Amino acid sequence: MRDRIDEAMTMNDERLRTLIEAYGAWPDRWPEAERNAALAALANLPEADEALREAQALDALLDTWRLAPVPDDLAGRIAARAVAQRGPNARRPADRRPVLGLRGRPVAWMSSAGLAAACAAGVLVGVQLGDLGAARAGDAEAAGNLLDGGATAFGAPADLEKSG
Amino acid sequence: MAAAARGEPAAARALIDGKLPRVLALARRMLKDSAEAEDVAQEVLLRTWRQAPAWRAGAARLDTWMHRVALNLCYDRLRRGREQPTAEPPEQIDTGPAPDRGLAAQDVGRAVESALRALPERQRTAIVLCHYQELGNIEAAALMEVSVEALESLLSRARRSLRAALADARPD
Repeated sequence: MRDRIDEAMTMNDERLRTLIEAYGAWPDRWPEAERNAALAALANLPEADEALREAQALDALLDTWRLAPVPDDLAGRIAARAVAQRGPNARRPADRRPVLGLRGRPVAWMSSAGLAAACAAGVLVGVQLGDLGAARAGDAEAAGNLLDGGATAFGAPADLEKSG
Repeated sequence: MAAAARGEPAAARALIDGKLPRVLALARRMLKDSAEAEDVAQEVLLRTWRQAPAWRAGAARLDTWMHRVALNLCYDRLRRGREQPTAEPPEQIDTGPAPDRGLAAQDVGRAVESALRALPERQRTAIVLCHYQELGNIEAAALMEVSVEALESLLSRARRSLRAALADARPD
């Protein structure tokens, strides 16, 4: 019986070392289910002090990597896009995709390239259908709708977003 | 959540104000380029907002779901090779007023960032999730799609490498 208790304590000590090596010195970062047992083992294992000191030193080093504050206008810009996409006055799905990213570069390249192609196609159709006269201003809107259909053909909006 | 599900603008702002710092921190620590990190954070929040009507109480924690989306977006960018190592100083070091931190502390912070970025991706992810994002081991392991034992192995190896790489670095 005594051997089994000693074995359990030894295993617990090993586990304690594993916890410190993996999660560091802060008990708050140790697995919740094992935290109390680990703290109890720590009190009875002075040999773990060195491992704990090493872990504390590394934790302190890791904590020196501080991040800059969140840019002041970032939350506002994202909120504006969110409301435009799904708010009381949300625009139609065809209009909702952002064309420019945060740094002003195209995010959904299909939007601009596809729009140009669809516009060109609209002009061609307008020219060929002479009875209908020259391309009307409404072609641009029609082109936009075609673009949206084309985008859907490439996959659901969520799939497109995954690639972005 | 009900207000968010209805698409109320105030709920959008509350969601973004509440979640942006944590999501952006994850992306910044995973990606070197701060603008890329902001793109990722924006995309995570917009997806969350669009999914709000489908949120169900008792389903996966929102924080976990957002971490999963953010990690996937970061992996996409890392694997597309858009993240190129540069010799320029990192842009994410806090250079604002900090009377309790001198230049030496900033240098140490940069050394830590460099050491972390030099780690294999999986080890770095484990450290970011467990140390910086303070996720529990089960949650972090699930996000990384590994067992808890494998997560602990990644963490231990990462910490050994970091200890060796930062042997000469000590904050004031």
